[in-house]
Amino acid sequence: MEKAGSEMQKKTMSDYFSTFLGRVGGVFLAPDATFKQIITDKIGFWETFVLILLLVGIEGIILASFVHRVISAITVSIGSLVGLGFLGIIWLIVVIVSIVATLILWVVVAGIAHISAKYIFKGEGSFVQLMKLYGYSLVPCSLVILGTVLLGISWATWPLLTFFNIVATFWVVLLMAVAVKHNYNIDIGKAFISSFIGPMVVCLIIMGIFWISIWLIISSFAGGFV
Amino acid sequence: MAMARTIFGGVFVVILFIGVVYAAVSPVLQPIIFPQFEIPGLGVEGETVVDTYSLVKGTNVSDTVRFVNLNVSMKFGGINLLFSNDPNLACDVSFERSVDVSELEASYDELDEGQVLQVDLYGESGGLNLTLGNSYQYNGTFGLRIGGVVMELGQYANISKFTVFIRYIGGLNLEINSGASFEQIDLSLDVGGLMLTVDAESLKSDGVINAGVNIGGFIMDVDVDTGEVGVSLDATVDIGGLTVDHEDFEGQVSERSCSVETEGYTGAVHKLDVKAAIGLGGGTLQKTLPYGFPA
Repeated sequence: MEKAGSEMQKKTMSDYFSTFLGRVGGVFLAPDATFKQIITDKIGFWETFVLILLLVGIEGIILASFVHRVISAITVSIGSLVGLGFLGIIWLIVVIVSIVATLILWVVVAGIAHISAKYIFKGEGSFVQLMKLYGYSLVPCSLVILGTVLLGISWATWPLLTFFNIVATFWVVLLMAVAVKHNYNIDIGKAFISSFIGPMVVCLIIMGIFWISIWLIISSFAGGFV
Repeated sequence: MAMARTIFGGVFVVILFIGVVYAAVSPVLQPIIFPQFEIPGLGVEGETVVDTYSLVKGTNVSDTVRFVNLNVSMKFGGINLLFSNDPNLACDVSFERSVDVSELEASYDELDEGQVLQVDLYGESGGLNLTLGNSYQYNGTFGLRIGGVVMELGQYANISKFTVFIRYIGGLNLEINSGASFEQIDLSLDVGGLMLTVDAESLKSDGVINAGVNIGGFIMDVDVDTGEVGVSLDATVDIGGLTVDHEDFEGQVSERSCSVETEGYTGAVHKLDVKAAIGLGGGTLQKTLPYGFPA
């Protein structure tokens, strides 16, 4: 009885992993059908959360390994002259900042798309569901990980990394539009505006406010408007 | 189609796995190596050796030698020069360096029918201690790229002309004590500090000191018997300021230049004229502090 239960659990885990692989592969090959399936299956939020953590965390630790190599070289070179022990934690800061920044962006970008799709274009859909779809939209970022590894192996592969970055960026933008389209049942044009144009406009407004603030601060030091 | 999706999903997982493995092993398998940069004496750990040389009358210096020309050049480190009460000593050199640094290149020759002893010293990095005697007339050029130079001229010093320069960054400390004899000393450094201390009841000759600092500070501490030693200072600062805080000095002082001399300068037995040019930084003339920093 115990053995039968164990086999059933093993089979379930195996099935789950196979389904997960199918979903990830489906994002590459058939995003429309895959996103519909994700909505229908009502997958758990934590699955997406772990997926994002894996993507960002692994990219973060690769970058951290670069930082660690450079800092180790600096420490060996001039560490005897000045204390450089504090540099040892920079790799950890790189990883943590990467993860935290991505999680914040995930919520903010999904939030803007949700507001736009639901309240401006009158779509029907939930915010949490959109976050799950957005999580899966980041799957093409694995290309960036591959490019970064190749760059680490040989600096000569930088054009490949650039190419992978461009492809991944366009791909993710496209997938996010598809995700909004299916989550709110709106057409792809409105979905693109909600998923890409909306966040871009908000980003530009925030940057504009930031630079105006900087300008005002500098002007006040200069004795007035410059 | 389902199989293709699973395969692509598998590729995705493999990429993540490769990323993790690469991040773990790359610092070990692909370390980046920069050239090692060390300055002896500044926290460098490791074994050191000392190269020593001596030029002594009757041993390796002819009796006809009257003048000694020193040509000292180093990349990193420190030069420490002082005079001793040894009439036979022309030059004693000790060079402390790390074992993996090349040893001091030292050579000497007698010129002008044996009247001039030419001494050339070149070191990569280390600490160079020079001790000179009291019966020769010395000329010298001391060049350093990065580091410090300390010179102490007392009653045994007998100098025609010394040129001391630090090409890049460092500190220069010249101390003139009672009974010193020198005609001209030129001091210059690019970035750093220059300290001139005149603590003398008397001098054996008139002397001139020319000091130049591109970026940094110039401090002149003076404590003299103004009847015996008349000291003048002509200083300019291009960007920065000058401070004269010494009751024995009088003359013209502005924010970026000064021309001052001690009371009774004209009637003093011997005169010491200091000319200082500072680019970016500051200059200070003050009375010698009664207590120095603890050694």
